[in-house]
Amino acid sequence: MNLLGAIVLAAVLGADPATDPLASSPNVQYRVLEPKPFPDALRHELVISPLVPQVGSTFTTHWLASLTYTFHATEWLGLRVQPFYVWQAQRSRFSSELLSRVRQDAAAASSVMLKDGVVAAPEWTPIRGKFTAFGGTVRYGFLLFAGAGVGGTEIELKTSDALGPATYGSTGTRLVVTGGAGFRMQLGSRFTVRLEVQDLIHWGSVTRVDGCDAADLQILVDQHTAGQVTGAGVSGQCNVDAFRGTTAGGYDRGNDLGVALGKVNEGGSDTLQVVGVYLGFGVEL
Amino acid sequence: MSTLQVLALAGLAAVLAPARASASPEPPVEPRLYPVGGRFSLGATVGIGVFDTLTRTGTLDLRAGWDFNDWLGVDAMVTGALSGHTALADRIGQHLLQTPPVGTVDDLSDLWQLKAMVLGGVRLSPLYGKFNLGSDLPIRYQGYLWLGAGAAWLDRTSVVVCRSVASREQGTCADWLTESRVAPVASGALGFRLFTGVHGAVLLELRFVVWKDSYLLGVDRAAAEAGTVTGQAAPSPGFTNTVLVDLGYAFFF
Repeated sequence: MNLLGAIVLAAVLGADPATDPLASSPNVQYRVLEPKPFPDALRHELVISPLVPQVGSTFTTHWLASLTYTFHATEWLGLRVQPFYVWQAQRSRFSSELLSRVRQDAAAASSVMLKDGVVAAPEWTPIRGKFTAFGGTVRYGFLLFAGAGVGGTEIELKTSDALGPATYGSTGTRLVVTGGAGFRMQLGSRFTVRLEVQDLIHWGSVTRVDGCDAADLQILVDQHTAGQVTGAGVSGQCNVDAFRGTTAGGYDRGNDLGVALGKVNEGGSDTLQVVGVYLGFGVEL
Repeated sequence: MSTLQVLALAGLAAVLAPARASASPEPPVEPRLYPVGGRFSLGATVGIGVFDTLTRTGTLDLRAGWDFNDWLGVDAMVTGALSGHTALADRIGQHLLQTPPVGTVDDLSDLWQLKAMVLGGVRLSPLYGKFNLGSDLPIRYQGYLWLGAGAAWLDRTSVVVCRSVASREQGTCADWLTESRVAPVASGALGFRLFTGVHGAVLLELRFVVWKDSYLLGVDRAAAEAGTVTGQAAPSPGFTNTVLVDLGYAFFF
């Protein structure tokens, strides 16, 4: 390398590669447009929310987990598909108190619990911003979504007591409508943290338990009273096996038949909401 | 390597060092447009209870605050509340009254209603940021955590202990057991100050107000309906948590 070469190299490398022509302008104090450091468009995001508590429950309470896949079509719009699984649903503390203290129970239609399901929704991020916290800068988006899906439901037949844990009967698949809002924080180009409040809304009446309608259940009650639940004469969709045998605690599942019949005969309908706080951890691909 | 080449590389390094620094300058940091440190504030909010089961609550707060700096302040507030039973609580009482008064029952928890409250607390505001509402309206905000305590004036109307039945068939009571007390309360809140200018901000917060519960166990309904004092105070009544969403405005001086 000769002297001239070194000087040229030094001049080329030493020059500011992105010299801002307005940097010295007295009229430019701040940059008002900043390029988005972590673009979302056409990217896929997978978020897991392992421990979602229900808030504001009345007669039932749920703990669930969900996995949300979001395709970000643009920086502002995405489409999310969210399967969820309720790993614990039970009578609420208030409902238990009502039963034990004043011997009143919630109506069957108000006691239906979600078991699992999947919902899909478009997701809109109308607001993006950043904040400083403890010396650092965090970028976030405020998002809104609303959609629908389906969910499996169940109802408690026997409360948890000395005879063993609670027993449940399936009340079928329902339409689930969902809506929610939340914040999505970006940690680098790959990782996200979401904090969302989401409502899962379902409605209807209890017309079947484990596929058995009132006529089926009456037949099975009569058979249980006679000594054996044979299942003869019931409809094909009635799951007779759900009322046979005993639980691990020795509880005769046939005892659930009378309760199930009572709930089916109650009538009435209700709209139920499962409002959950979803703290999720995501990765963007 | 010749002396000339060494000198050239030394010169290159000397030129590069400042050049690199200017090529990657510190990102520009905008000074806080709305500093609150050392300022006094006066505000008012209205609140509504969420997740109500047996009682419903609406509140009006008047609050005064002082910000020591941009992240730490104190507030004092006075609250008046309109509260009552939910329809569910009234239905429970009605259904119970329609059954014959045989044996004993326990009163329900979480029936105390907030009537008034004074609170003092510390406000920690570690977050300051901005977002754009539309394309032309940047909103600066503070996010805060509030913790404090005070005293609350509470009323309670039982849905179990009726001292005079008006109609057994319709399940109506002429004289439910009512109580009043002043109780210590603890309160916490998560909220935002959304600045509208140097002299004001919209307040939006989620507030928790917690007090110790009390109710009767083993109430002999027949004796109560005859006007006799019956039942014992619950030994471990637990706590009642009332959740409010507050919305209001604060002026800074």
